[in-house]
Amino acid sequence: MRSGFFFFAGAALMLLGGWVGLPKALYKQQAQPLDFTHKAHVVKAEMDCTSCHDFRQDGSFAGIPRIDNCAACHAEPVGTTANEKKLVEKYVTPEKEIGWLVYSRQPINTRFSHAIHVRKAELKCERCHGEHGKTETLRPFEYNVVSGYSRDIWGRSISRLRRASHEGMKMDDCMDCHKEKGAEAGCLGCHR
Amino acid sequence: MLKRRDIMMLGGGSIAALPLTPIPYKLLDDVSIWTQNWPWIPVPMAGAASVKNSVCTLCRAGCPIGVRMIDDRPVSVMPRGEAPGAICALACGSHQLPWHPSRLRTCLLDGKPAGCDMVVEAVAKAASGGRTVAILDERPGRAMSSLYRRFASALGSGAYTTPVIQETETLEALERLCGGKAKLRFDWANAQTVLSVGAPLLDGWPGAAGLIARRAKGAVKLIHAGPDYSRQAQLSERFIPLAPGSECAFALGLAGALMAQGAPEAEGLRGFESIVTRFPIERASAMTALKPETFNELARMLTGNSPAVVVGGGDFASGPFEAGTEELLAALNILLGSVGREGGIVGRPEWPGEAVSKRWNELPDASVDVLIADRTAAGFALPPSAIERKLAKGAFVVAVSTWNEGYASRARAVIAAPAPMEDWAENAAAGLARWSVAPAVLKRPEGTVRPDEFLAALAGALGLSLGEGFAIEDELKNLAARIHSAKRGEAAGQPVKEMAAAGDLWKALSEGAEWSDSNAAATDLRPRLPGAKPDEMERLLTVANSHLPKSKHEGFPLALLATGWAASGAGAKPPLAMKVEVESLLRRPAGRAAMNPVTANGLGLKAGDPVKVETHRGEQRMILALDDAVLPNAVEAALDGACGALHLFETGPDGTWRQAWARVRRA
Repeated sequence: MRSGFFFFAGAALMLLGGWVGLPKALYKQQAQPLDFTHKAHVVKAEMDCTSCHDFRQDGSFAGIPRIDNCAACHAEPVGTTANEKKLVEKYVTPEKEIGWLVYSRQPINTRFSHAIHVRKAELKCERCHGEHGKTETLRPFEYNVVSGYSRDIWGRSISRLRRASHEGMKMDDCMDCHKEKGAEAGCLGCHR
Repeated sequence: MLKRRDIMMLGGGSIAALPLTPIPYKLLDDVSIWTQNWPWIPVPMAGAASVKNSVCTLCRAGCPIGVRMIDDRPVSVMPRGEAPGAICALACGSHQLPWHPSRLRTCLLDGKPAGCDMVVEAVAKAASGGRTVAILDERPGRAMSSLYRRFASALGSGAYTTPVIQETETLEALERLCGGKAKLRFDWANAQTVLSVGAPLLDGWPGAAGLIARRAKGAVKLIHAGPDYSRQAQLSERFIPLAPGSECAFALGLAGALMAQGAPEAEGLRGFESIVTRFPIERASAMTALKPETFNELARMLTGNSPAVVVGGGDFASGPFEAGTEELLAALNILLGSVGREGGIVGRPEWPGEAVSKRWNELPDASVDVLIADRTAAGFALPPSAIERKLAKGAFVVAVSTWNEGYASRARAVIAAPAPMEDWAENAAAGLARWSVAPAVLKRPEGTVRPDEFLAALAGALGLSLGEGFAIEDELKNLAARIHSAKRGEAAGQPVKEMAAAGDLWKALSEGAEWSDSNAAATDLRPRLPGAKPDEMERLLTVANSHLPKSKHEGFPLALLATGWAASGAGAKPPLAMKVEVESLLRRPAGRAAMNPVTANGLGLKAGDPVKVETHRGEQRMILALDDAVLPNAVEAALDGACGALHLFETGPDGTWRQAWARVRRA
């Protein structure tokens, strides 16, 4: 009886450590350099994703907007919030790029073409980025202390079970979608 | 009280539950990623991504490319436009070339780093006193070529020369047979059948991208005849293996087969008939090692799927054909009725600024005191023997080169020219009537000197006046202005005549557009067949009957052929191209000598053996590769950018070095 208790206690501790402790130990948080409300831009300013995350003339994706893009509207403070003041004073006026921490940053051995996925395959931004475009504030950036990857690559759920389509950006997630769509890419389609 | 057994049970329970937690799986995944991302692995700097449209100028195919930039750094090269989804490994890695180990970052004098002024002073001293100065422009037709001409003309005693331009040899032979009435070009866009004799049309030839696209659609049938199973041979629908040196005999045999099917009305037919009669198919068969039926079958293929064109020129490594061979290949086009016909060989307007150049091999032997050899945009292999036989004793050679390889490494002085992507470059192909410009996308290192800067400095030291606008960019703009004022052709899908100003054409060109010329008005070309005059007849028969020089045969039983591709003379290859070559076997890597297994067995050699390939001119150590595709009693020497094995070849007075007799021994 006593032996059984200790055996199950050990098992329970391990399960607790694995499912609860591991994510806490594995991921560290880092604050974004500036808070940003997608909601204000989408709802109030009636902008869509491509207003800032645009495609260049040659079809390639510009990614995170550069400061001159922000400066087009925020050359002067729009509103009185501390964030707005910080944006103008610290970044727009000295023309300094904001060092955004990108939740969906892929490793350097991977290439991903937004143009092919959005324009050709007609995927919605939400398919991979969820409701990020409607958030009122930026959640802290979390990174894996071992691999250095953003937590969004593995996904919020440590088990990777019962995930929404946008939770997780590992190779398996890409391949699942490619299988679902019948899109052949081969190794060099995504890897350099 | 906690007992030892309790602790054991606690540990046992933990271990038993471990597989039920994400710990092993997650940590395994993370650690494997960690091992791929060691902190000391350099990570490319982030920056703004953009793509600059350009053209590849490493060979004369002139494929349209997009150069992907991060801020001001080129990070990759990708195909665009009519290149059908792919560019070669050389172009793919072209952005790596500025960092190539053999890249020169400073000029050299007597093998030591020197400033450009020191080189200029030494060249000026060598050129003073009315000594003969020659310029060898290995890629004529460029804006820089015009500047070389201006310099040579200002010098007075200077000669501007070019090597034999293989791609236009058949056309020039035809132009001569047309009495010089018109300039000609191949109508690749409409040809139905193309017989390439040695010519690597899909592998670095001007306009290769368009031909590759048509081949992929099955719109053109390609037949290749030659002594080696080249990439062109592999990509053609039919490969006709010829005994080394028998191209001329092959042309005469095929001419006989075509005439047997019914010869068209053409001037000089009777004289040509008598050549064919004196060189029957059976003789051609014996010399080429082809069956007589092959000639008749090939003739049926060409006439049955017309318009058909025959292209000579030889491949990049083994150099041009003799003039007689080109004349006979040109005659095949006349027999096929392809001259002046859509899909065959059509007229073209004269290239703006096109001028007849003196060939290097036309200079008297041992006559050049100072040689300025431009190797910046080479692409031809050129054996040292071809250059050295024209040099006077103690001649001063200055090479303008990006790489300290090939002939540049033998020169007394080297001007360190900018690398690809560091300076304006262009693709000008008169025979194709196309022109495109590649802008500089990368800042060149401090110690490098542009060829025009070197010439201007040399002119200053020699007290010459070169006139205003002596710069590559000015010359390029001048050419664009001349094209605009002539209102010829189109660029970026817009006719030039609809462009308001020359600046619009220049803008389109500098953003990667290609200018293509208008077609010439149809002219009555009336070509004559060669052989009308007795001496002409004898000359052609002599070429057809000649093989390799028999006097040098003893003790050297194997026919040595140089093989390579457009980059054979380019000096350096990017690591990516070399990796692809070595690992894929798509191309034979440089430094390999290939033999047929039967020939190798007879010599007691096996694959991988280090061997010495010897000719009368010297020897070269190589690694032996066995290949069923190599003809018996032949050895193929693969060339690299430095053209290492070319010193084994003797160049004839006509500037050809098709084959040499060799022996191969274990090293």
